Amino acid sequence: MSLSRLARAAVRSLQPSIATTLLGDWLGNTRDPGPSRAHLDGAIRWLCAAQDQTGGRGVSAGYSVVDGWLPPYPETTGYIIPTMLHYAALSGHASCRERAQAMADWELEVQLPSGAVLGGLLDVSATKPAVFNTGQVILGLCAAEREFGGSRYGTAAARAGDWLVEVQSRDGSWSLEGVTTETQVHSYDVRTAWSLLELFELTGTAKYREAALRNCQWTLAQQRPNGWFENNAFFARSGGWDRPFTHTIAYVMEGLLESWRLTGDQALLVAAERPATKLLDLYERRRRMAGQYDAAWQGNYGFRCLTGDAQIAGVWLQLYEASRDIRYLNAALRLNDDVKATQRLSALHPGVRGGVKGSQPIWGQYTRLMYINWGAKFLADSLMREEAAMQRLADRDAVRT
Amino acid sequence: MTASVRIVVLARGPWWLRMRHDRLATALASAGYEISGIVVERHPTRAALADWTGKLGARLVVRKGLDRLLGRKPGVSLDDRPETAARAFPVYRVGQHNSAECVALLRRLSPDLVVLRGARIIGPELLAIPRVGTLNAHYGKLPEFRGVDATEWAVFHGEQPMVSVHWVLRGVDTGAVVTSGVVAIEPGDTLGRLRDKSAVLARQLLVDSVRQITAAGLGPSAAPAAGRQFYKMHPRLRELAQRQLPRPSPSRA
Repeated sequence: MSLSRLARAAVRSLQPSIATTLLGDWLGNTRDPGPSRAHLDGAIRWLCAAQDQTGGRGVSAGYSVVDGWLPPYPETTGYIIPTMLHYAALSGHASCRERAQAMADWELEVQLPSGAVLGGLLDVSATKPAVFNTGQVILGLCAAEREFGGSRYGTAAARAGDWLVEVQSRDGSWSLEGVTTETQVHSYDVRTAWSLLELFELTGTAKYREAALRNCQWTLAQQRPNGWFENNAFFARSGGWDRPFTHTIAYVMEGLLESWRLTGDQALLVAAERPATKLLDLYERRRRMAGQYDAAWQGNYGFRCLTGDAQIAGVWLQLYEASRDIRYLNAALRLNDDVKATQRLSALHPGVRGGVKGSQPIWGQYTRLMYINWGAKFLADSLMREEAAMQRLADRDAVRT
Repeated sequence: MTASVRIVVLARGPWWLRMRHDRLATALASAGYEISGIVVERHPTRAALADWTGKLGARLVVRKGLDRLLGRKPGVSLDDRPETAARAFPVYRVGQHNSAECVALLRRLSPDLVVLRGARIIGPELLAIPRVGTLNAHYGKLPEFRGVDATEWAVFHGEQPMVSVHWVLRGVDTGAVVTSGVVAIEPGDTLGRLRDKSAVLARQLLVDSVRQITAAGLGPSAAPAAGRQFYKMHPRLRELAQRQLPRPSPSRA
């Protein structure tokens, strides 16, 4: 780190909100989580603040203790669109719907001529297209097309889908040199397969479905008998970096579950259930989630990857909906509580207030010293699923009594 | 015959909780068995209070505490046998049941049977010590409701809460059931009160089980692998489970 960045970080650390976070994490303090709705509103307000930082269009990747507000992030802005639309429908806040449209319009502007989406943040360093990022933006554009119509979002999504089909390897994987990753093929690209299935639903074009199914089959072949997925870390280097964070482990489960929802292929559901039940068992026995797991499911408990926690809770909630096995809901409620307990709803600084850190403690290995937009997004998604599940249970209860 | 059966009770509690007149040990002794000792694992006071209030509810904990302080008989109306207050048993306090210190102590006590009374998961080294085996009273129907908070999970699923006395094997709640009984739900019952009733029923069933085992020369066996392993219930689900219980009948003015 250069001297000037270090100096900036030191000055930021003196701000009361940041100082309190650093001190609280150092002391291991957590707060009692409040009602889920308050935490959901807090996460959405943080996302709105992150969007406002970049002129109300793309969403800033996050707030960094070192660098302040970061440039907008095309990939995550893409998948924040459905979150904002869902929240707008749930809360009746029309402004969130407008914000989602502004995000989708921005995605059209930054889309590459090839149809692909840039890897990394939208700054001078972003020069190369990225497969996964393109898939996540397709999810946002499909949601925008369904919500706003007019065909321009659908057309852009189809251009992105065409590029994905074009660059797919024959075995169903995608193998492009990464922008922010060292590894070339990724199991978590099954989330990109999901985006192609969404695109097929929107357009009816068979090649998107075929490409998605090829990738699903490739992903299933990556699974070990213990539920573990090969090729799922960002980095190949040793020292723990070759172990996937819970974030990417959850990405695979999300991609498989959504692909199962859209295809009805039970093998995808079974493949998602295996790591999900393993993680549930580990979490319930240890009463906490690790930040990373290795191929034998040995966890690194030195930090928590909070976005991964929120995503896993979301996966358990999806499995609860699919199976009605109450143990999934029970664990999801607890894991959401764990993330909520790290969220500060009344902090003074807008980069902290309602935000979700990359790691707990904030200096943990995943996106060190940052509040990240995808952390807030996945917590919001999980809390909206939680509320829907609890409402259905309460309704069942009301019918019984 | 019964007097030759030596029993050690494994319990858990804070340092200040007197266990010399433990009701389970008293009931077993009254049935003619020799109590070699009560081995109590240390449970920090704050954690113990949080545990009790979480399971029974604050009101019931306060009432039970007052009963104890004032020497009153507990309010639960099941057929609980009267205590023989004069009998006191040797109490041994250990840091953890699975510690080397406790293993050595248990080897010295050389029990025929170990009976668990609120102990945590027991390791294989300890399980190998008793001549016959180890028994536990699980507050739930086995194998359907294995694991934690089984009373609450049964109520949540609209099923009758039960107590099952079973052999303790290496897996959680995987030993064969020796005896079981149903906990009656009455209007006005809370989850905490059901647990309290379960404790009384568990005492009776444990004495009956030891009687059956010694009479028939039974030994540990595994239950068929079935059922689901449950974990600690989240407070929001607990609230829903509580709402499943019948409300008290309206009193007439």
